[in-house]
Amino acid sequence: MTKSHPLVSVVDDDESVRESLPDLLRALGYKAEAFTSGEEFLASDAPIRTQCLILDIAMPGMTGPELHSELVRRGQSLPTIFITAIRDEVARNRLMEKGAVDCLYKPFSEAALQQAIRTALET
Amino acid sequence: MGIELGCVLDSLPHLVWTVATNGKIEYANRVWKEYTGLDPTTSTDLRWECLLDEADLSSAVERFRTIRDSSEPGNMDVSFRRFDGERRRFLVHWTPLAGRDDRELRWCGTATDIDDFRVAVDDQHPELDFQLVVDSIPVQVAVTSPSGEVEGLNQPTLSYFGMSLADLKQWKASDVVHPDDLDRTIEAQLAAHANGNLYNVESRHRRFDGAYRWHNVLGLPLRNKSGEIQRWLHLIIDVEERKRAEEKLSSRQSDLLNIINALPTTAWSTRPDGYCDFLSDRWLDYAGLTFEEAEGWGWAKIIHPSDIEPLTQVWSTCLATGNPVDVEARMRDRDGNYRWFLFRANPLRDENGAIVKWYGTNIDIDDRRRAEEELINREREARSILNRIPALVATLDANGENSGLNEQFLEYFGLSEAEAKNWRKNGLVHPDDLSNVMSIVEQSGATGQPSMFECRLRGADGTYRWFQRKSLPYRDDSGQIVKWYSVSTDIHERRMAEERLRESERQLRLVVNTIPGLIVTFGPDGATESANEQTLKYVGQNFDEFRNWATNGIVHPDDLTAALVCFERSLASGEPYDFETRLRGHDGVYRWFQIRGYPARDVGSNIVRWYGLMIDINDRKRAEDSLARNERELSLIVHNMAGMIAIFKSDAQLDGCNQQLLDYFQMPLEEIANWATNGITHPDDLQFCIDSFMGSIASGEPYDFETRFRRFDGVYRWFQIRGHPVRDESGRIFRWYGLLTDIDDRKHAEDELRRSQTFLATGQRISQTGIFSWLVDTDELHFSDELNRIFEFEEGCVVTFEKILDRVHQDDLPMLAEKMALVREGFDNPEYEIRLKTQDGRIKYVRVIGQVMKHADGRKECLGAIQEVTDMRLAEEARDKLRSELARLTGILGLGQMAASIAHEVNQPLAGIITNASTCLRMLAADPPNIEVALETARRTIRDGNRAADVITRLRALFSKRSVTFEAIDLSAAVREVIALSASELQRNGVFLRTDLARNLPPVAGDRVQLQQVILNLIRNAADAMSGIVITSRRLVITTSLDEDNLVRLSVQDTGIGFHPNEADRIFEPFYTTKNDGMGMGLSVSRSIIESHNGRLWGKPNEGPGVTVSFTLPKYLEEENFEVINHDSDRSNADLAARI
Repeated sequence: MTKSHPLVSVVDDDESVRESLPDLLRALGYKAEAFTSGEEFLASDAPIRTQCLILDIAMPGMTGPELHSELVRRGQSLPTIFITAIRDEVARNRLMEKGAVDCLYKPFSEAALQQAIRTALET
Repeated sequence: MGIELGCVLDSLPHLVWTVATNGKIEYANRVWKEYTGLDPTTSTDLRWECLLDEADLSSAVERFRTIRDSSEPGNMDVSFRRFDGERRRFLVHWTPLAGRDDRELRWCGTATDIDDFRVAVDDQHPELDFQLVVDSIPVQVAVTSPSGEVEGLNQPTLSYFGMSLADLKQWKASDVVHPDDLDRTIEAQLAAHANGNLYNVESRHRRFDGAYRWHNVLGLPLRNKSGEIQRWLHLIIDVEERKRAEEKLSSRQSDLLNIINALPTTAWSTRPDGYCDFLSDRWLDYAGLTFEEAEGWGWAKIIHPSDIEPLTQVWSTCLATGNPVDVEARMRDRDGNYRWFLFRANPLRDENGAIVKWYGTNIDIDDRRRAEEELINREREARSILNRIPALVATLDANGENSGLNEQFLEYFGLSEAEAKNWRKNGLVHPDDLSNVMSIVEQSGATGQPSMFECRLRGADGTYRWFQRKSLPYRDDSGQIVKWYSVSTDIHERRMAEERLRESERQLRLVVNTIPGLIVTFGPDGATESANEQTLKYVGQNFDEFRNWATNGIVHPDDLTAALVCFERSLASGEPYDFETRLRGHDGVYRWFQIRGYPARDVGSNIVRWYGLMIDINDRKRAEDSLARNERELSLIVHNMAGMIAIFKSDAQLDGCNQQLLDYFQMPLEEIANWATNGITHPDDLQFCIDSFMGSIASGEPYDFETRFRRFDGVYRWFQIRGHPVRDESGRIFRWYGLLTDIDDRKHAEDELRRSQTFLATGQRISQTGIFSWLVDTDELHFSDELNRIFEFEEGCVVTFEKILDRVHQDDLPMLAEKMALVREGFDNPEYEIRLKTQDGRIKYVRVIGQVMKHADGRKECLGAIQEVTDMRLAEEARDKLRSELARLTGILGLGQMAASIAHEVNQPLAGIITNASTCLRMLAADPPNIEVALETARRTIRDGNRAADVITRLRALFSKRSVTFEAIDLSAAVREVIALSASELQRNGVFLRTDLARNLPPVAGDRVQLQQVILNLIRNAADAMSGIVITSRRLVITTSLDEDNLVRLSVQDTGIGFHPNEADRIFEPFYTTKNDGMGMGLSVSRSIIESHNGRLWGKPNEGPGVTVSFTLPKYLEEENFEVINHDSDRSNADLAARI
């Protein structure tokens, strides 16, 4: 919650992302929490504490865009970076229009991730 | 001053001493000690009487008692025994010494040796005894100088006139003598003075009450040995009664006789020729003669033979001249003793003036005569005393003029008496002293006060010497000053000493005023006497203000009480004082002073003065304050610091410690001191501890070692023990200060670090990551062992850029040069990949991440990690290869979503690999490296790599490079083959499998491998869907049949989690999955394959739990057989890559 260590939440059904991304985020100086699904994220108090949301697009159950819309609907809109393993520029543009900070294609570089988070935290 | 007084007393030619009321001698001057051979300072029981002869003792003691009781000064005449037994006569003058409370505590005796003169004379009062004598004579006596000035009158005279001596000094005859008798009286006196003979005149004198009475006045010249008249003695005899008698005689002769006989004098009468015709009874009685025997000239036989002739001569003369007879002669009484008598006779004349009878009286003047003789003797003696005593003595008249100077005086100054009187002008007195002397003499004459002054007088040799001149007035009983006696004492040496003393005092004052200390002197009672200039300058006050230092605020209010207590205690005890106080300066600022006072004492040990010295110690005091503060702080530090402090004596004995030490052991200091024996030192460290500590104690070198001490709860903790010796001025060690620092955590951290370093090496090995350090300015390089391995350098070799460049792939050399240049230019955090080429020609991919650090000393260092990512790159290359293979597939199958599906399957683990590798590099590049996380991420990287490899393997299996061949296939047989392959897996997963496979099923056209893969997929999906439910409910049913549309159908029914009917289509979307670890492509790929066989694949929920997924394929027709061409072109690869 502190300015120096903003909380970045990761929602991804892929375990390896949930394992690796929080560690990297912490190494980059952020606090990080991981959630397996949009439902889990919504059920926690994380939406209130989170400064930046990294959100997988394709997930069983609630998809990333659905979670994003739900947060907007609840008035808990968060700066969101979508990540996806499918390179789909159309889908990407749609998400950007809906207010996403960025949409990164897996595998993404550390630099791209850092840049996106910086942008997210500045908004 | 006391010292001077002592010197003066010692230099006096007198014995001087003081006696206390108990009669004991308290003080004696040097002369006294020398004379008596005694010393009162050593013999405390000396009494002044001890010098007296037994014969004198009682009278002298009695006399002293009288004087003492009178409380007035008094004299006595005694003999004192000298040290050698000889006795000398002294004139002792006693003076009371007033004590502090005005009670006469002591008497001072001054003894003048008069033995040489045999008679005790107080040179200041030579006529005292005479005075007593004349006062006791029952006639009036007056003494006048040769010039007629009244010098003395006896008491009867004063009583008669009712006037004081002073009044009568101015006595003129006209004042007292009856006017009728005045001329006669003056005439007689003038005549007598002129010829030096005695005179006798009868005149009436006015008594104090105004009544005139007849007196016979007889004037006698007093001569010295040389016959000069010194004085006149006037006897004034009241003859009023006789006059009256004479007047009565003529008428009543008989009465006369009776009267005459009744008179207390002897009386007689003669015929005009001198024949004695009458002698009073008293005369006859005195002489023991009968009238007949004495009649005529018979009386002459009792006249002293020596006097008979003068008497006869006078008598004859008087008979001849008719002058009154007035002569003195001795007459023998009946016992044969001669007494002096005054013979007086007056002629009785008839109316014609012829003498008819002589009437005479004889007055016994023996006492007077003797007194006169005594007086003359005394005078003579006094004179000779004055002339012979070794002092310069002057007698002065009432006006202060010299009237007599002793021979010593005249001799010393080489002057005559007349010249000496001219002292004001003749240079006798030093010109510088003259005006002072004149004013003192004048003042003293006016006030009548004794005077004492010092002046320089010129001796006969022309040199001036200092004299002390003491003058005392001699007063008559009426208090009138009659004379002054003065003694001049040569005090030149003393004066010179004083001058020198004064000079040295002046010097001292100069010194006192110039030294930078504040000096104040106080009287014995504490009254401020003086203060030097520095003092006054400091306080900014004048002396009158300063003397009220106790009340005017100079002393700081907080210090005042203590200062006064100190000061007054010293005044009372006589001990020096020494205290510190703040004094206010002229600027209002208080500064600290050390105040010291010392008493100065005289020879009698009496304190005469206090000298106070005030030293500015403000700076010192401040330093002390700050020292005290420092000490307080130090003490605070010692007791609050996070360390334990122990203090040892030079013999290694524990002497003290801070609270922390006590808290640690929770035992008393005395017990801690036994650290070598009581078990608080760890047994394994004990010997080392003792050797180290005692070694330092012996050598004096500081010690520094580590040991374990047992805490109060029994836990041993590591301590660093450091100790330093403390030395005194001589360099001797008197203390050891030991600091015990708890390093237990550090120790553990060290162990931890060692373990970490091992981990790091392991981690580097496992993650194939090496660490380097590059000192940018010097190009010094350090490689970790793993990095050397990656570069295939020999272990421990010196790494140079030359060697590195030799290993770098030549295509990457420009990039490396560019990256290094950026670091040199100050760009941070380089991150890039380069290729290495090993000596045997293999290519290694390495990823470099660096961080540039600026050290405090300005050095620039680039720290970084290099990871070998060859495997990853190879996997990526494999993926790229796969993509190209997939392109072929898509070309054949037209499965657009296949690419996305495959990309999803592969990018997922790749994202994990890259993220983990990034984290790993960061963890290793951190300072200190976070080994644990690095290890974990490295493990994940490997796992994700394997996962990616699995995907590829499976894809490879699915899409082998071989051509897809459609053939006639018995689907039931294909199912059996697949079941055979997966039976063990299903069994392991607890899945109960039932098959319902139709016999004689028509064959379908298709690729066996692809169709079997779809079947396998469906079975696996079904099994996976049931993995979350209870094992007894896991049922899988596989059915083959020919459906109503003459299509061959295969159905896989499970009892798994199923899906919502709405999702029936979504499950076939490329990355739809219900499984956490699922590829999410199974159904999608399967549907693609089935559709490529012109079939259909769908799923629907069961009535009960689970789902049934089915596909149908058309029957095999001979003519439909075809072959798919393998597309293998770069272009299609690039297209595929662009789409993924």
